[in-house]
Amino acid sequence: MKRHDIDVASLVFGLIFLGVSAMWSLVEVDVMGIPGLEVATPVLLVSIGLAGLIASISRMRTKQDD
Amino acid sequence: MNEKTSHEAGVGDDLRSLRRSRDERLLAGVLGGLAQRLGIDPVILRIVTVVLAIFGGVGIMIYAAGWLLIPDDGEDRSIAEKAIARGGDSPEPATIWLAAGLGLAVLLAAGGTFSSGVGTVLLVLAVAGVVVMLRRGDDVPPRDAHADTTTDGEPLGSDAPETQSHGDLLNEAQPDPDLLDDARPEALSDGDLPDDAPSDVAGVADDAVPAGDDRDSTTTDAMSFSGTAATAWPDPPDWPDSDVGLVDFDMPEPSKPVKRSGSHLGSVTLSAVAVALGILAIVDSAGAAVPAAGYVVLALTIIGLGLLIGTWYGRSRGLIAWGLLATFIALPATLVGDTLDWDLTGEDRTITIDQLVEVPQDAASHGMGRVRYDLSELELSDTNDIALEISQTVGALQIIVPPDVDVTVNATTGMGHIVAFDEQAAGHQDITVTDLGSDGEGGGQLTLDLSLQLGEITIERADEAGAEGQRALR
Repeated sequence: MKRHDIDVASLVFGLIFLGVSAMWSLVEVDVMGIPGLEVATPVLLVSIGLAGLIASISRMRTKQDD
Repeated sequence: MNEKTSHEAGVGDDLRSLRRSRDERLLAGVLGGLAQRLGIDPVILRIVTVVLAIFGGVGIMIYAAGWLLIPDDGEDRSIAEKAIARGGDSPEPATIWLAAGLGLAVLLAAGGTFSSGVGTVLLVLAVAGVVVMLRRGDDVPPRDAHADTTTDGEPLGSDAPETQSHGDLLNEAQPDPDLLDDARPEALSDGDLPDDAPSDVAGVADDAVPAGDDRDSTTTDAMSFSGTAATAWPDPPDWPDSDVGLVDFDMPEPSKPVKRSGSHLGSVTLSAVAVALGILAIVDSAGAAVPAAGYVVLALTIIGLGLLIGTWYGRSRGLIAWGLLATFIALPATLVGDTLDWDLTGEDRTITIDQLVEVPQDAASHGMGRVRYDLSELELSDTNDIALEISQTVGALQIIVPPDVDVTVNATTGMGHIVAFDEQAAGHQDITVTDLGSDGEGGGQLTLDLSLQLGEITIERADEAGAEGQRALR
């Protein structure tokens, strides 16, 4: 398959879904309790948001260079 | 700028083609438009929405979201898009983030109604239903403006108001090569028409009507424009939009034809989900304890991986809708219970325990309904130490304890509400409460281990429950 420009929407939603799965698994095997979610959820969302922002900005840069 | 719209047609495209109806309008036309798109009676959707509104107000939030996010008939941008991206170039990112934000708000609102639980389940069913019906709508000729622009010679859909075709041409024809091919003849035929009004659609339409006999279906379009303009849509201020559209049709020459469904990533991922769920089901039946939500989360994980691959290779945006659906389902599935082994027999009874010998030694299990343990007449001495272990699937579990006994309660609900003396807890809860009664320490010890998947647990002192007990007897 040919590689294309970063698709930011796919990236962000893919990371969110994997993050939700990971959090559920951690709670299920009792590594992290329900209270741990109060920390994990914001950390997850902020890091995914930053990843999306960085991807968008780098995409805009490459677009401008063309 | 608009490259996003060239992605394969998915639920997103279906949602973007939604319009609030002008003909079927009670409030803002949200349900009328959705019903038109789905090809069902708006009354059905109205009933569903009212039901959703009664159970936790979710229906109201969904309607409000639709009002803000779905463009009005004949317009290409919603109220929210106009407010946020005023004059902005691409309205789409704004729509996506607005939809995500409102989705979160709906989720939080639903979270507030977990004590009933019903609202959440209905919400999940409603979202799933709409998505499924939109997908199904792809197989039959769509009833929206695509029919007007893509199927030459076919009479304009009687369900779709002709006014809509214009807004949708503006909205979708530009980035979509299929539509472009069909739209261009119309633009050309406009060019063929008398030179005195080259870009004035109203003028074109007026000219086209008398000359209509030897023209092809594109003229039918023009005729319907004039007909609409004369009857249902007399407001002239909307016409300038169409000028912009006509100019735009001439501009874009697609550099290379974009294949509508060039990627199999979405279908490959969903197939992988099916295979994985099947394997998990085999593992489950082989004896491993797989929680109900485990299935949903496994699907969510694979959808997430598919989307990550789609970030760089292939197209997988259609998976976003599936992932959101799985997330919505995962939440109640997690809260409701750890396994699917539920006792679902109906029960409605009172168990009275007046003497020590009547106290059950084994754990008691109940199905669905109202179960009431009345221990109010049970006499305990200071040396007595008894325990009750009760589990129930759905309903109300009420325990009435003797006035003076020292009681320790360990209660847990998957989704519900616990009232233990003066303590209250709601949601996915696990609480421990100790209450010594009116006489302080002494008078025997009673330990209650209670668990209820869905519903309400109530623990009361006999003197408090007396009045209520009298009422129940009558």
